[in-house]
Amino acid sequence: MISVNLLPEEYRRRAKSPIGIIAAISAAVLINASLFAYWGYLHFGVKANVATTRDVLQADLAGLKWQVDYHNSLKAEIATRSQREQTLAEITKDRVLWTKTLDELIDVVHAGREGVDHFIWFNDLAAEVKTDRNNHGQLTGDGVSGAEAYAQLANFAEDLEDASLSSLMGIFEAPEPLQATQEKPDETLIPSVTWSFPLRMNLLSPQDRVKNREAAEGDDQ
Amino acid sequence: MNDKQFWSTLGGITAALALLFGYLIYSEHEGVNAAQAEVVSLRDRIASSRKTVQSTPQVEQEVIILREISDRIREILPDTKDLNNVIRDFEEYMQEAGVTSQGFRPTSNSNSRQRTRSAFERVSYQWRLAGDTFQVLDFLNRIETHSRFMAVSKLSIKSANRRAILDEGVASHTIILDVETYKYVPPSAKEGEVEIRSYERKRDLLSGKIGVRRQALTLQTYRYQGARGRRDPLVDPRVPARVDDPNAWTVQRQQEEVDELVARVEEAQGYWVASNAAKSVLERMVQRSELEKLILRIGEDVRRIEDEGHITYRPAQKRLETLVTEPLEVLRLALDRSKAIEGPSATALQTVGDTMVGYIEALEYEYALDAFDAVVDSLELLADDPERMELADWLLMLYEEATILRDFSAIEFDVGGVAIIEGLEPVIIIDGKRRTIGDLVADDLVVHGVRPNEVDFIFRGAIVTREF
Repeated sequence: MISVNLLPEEYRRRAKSPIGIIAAISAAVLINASLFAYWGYLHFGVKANVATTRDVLQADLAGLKWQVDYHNSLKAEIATRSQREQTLAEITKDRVLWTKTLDELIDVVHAGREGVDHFIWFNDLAAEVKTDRNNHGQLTGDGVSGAEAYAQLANFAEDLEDASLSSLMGIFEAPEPLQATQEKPDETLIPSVTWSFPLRMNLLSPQDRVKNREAAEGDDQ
Repeated sequence: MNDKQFWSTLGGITAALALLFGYLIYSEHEGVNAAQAEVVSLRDRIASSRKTVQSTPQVEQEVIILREISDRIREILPDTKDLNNVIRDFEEYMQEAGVTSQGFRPTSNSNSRQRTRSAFERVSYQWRLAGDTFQVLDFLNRIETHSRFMAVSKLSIKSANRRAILDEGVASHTIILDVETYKYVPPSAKEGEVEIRSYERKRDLLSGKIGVRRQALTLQTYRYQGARGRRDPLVDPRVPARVDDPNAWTVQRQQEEVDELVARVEEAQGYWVASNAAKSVLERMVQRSELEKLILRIGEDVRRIEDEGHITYRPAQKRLETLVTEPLEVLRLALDRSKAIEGPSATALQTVGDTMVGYIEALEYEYALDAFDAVVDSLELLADDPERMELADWLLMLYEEATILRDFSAIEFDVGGVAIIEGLEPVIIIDGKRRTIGDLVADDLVVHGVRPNEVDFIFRGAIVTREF
């Protein structure tokens, strides 16, 4: 249906602005403008700011990089060079100075007690360093005592453990319990009666030997 | 466009735009978050880098120290086996220690250490030697103090039998030694060197620490000092039964006495070497004089010991013979020969004379007499040489002069004053007594002349002057 307004112009109802439309458009514009503004803030404000900070930091890091590289190269050189030093420490740890050990054993043999010579000698001596976990080696000997009293053998065994005479106990466990056998007397020699005895002293572990040596060096200082 | 269309269109456009902006905002947020995460990460990396770089000076120091001690480490633990040099060193050590080699061979590398550790390779040799225990210890000590790390992993000493020792007079034990050394097997990474700025200056500043680390690398060693009067513990020390002589010396005593004589012979040899190396004739004369006295005293002691038959222990007898009697005789002959052939040369005599003159002029009469003492015993050798005899006479004259001056300077007296009057004999007050020319002041001391500040005496035929 078509409606026609036939009223004269002055009687007709004046056309009004569509408030609803304006409001709706304004709201739409406002919302989108706000969203745009926020995006703009994020893009040109926050993001640019963070990017600037990042660029500055990247420049800083680039400045530090050669120093870090230099540092790492030095560390690598240390690692390579100190390996040899560590290897050296590793192999020296196990070493037994047999010159010192045998020299001290001779000291003990020679020491005697209260003016009485131990009068001990050996038909053989053998020493070995082992790297087994439970057997670190030993010093063994086929000993002979020509002392008048075989109790002198006990004195000798005690002297082996006497720290004032030698540092043998720094590398050995205590000697095994004494045992001796009387040999056939030889009247053409003085003394004619002798006792043979086995000597066996087991080496301590390398760690214990190092510990004892360091303790002894500490005492000396 | 009707209302409906209008509202639809408006709603659609608005929604589309909102969605678009929402998406953009979301994307920006994502971007910002990512950038912020990157910033945090960068900050962490920078902090970490700064922390790393902070310790660079210490790391640099460690590198410098390691570089400076690396030569020492390489010496102890080299990259090469270099066994030929080791064998050469061993031969030298054996000669120095007096042990003899009966053979050597490489041993297998089956040691568990070899299998479990790969940073080094073990190189082992077995040596078969002969010598007495102290020689072996000397040899061992040389091995264990070698600049390259060496260790004796196994050793056995079997004593020489008693009969052989009695026959030969020396103990020649059988020794088997397993000596091991190591070759470093470097990892595949090369020991590249980073350039350190102002290296020399930094190294100089670290010289103390470098010294300490270098010192710490010193291998544990032992100072072996020889037999020191101890008997060989692998020699049966029993002596043949001597029921006729209860005072016979024990083996220990015999060893000690012989050792003392050996030490004295070595001292005499030291004098001989020193006299031959002396830079001045005077020093040479002094050394020879001491040597002569020492030879006489040792000879007397050896004669006494041999006459009394104290040394019955064969090894001690052998030592006495080879290390005392024979070298003593050699020294005696060398000394006699040098005296007979040479005597003091004209130059030597002139030097001694000049020295004496110098001492006399410096009023050091005792030194002048000491210089003369060094040659006086050999002056009789010059009787057939007129040129040197003339110098010897000059020395004798200087000796007399020095003796007179020394004795005169030792006489003490006080001069109270002098009176010198023309036409009268001068008078001098000595020790409170009036003396004039010709008066005796003390033994052999006669006043000869008086002047205002000095007085002349006749002393043992010479005119000497004392100022006051």
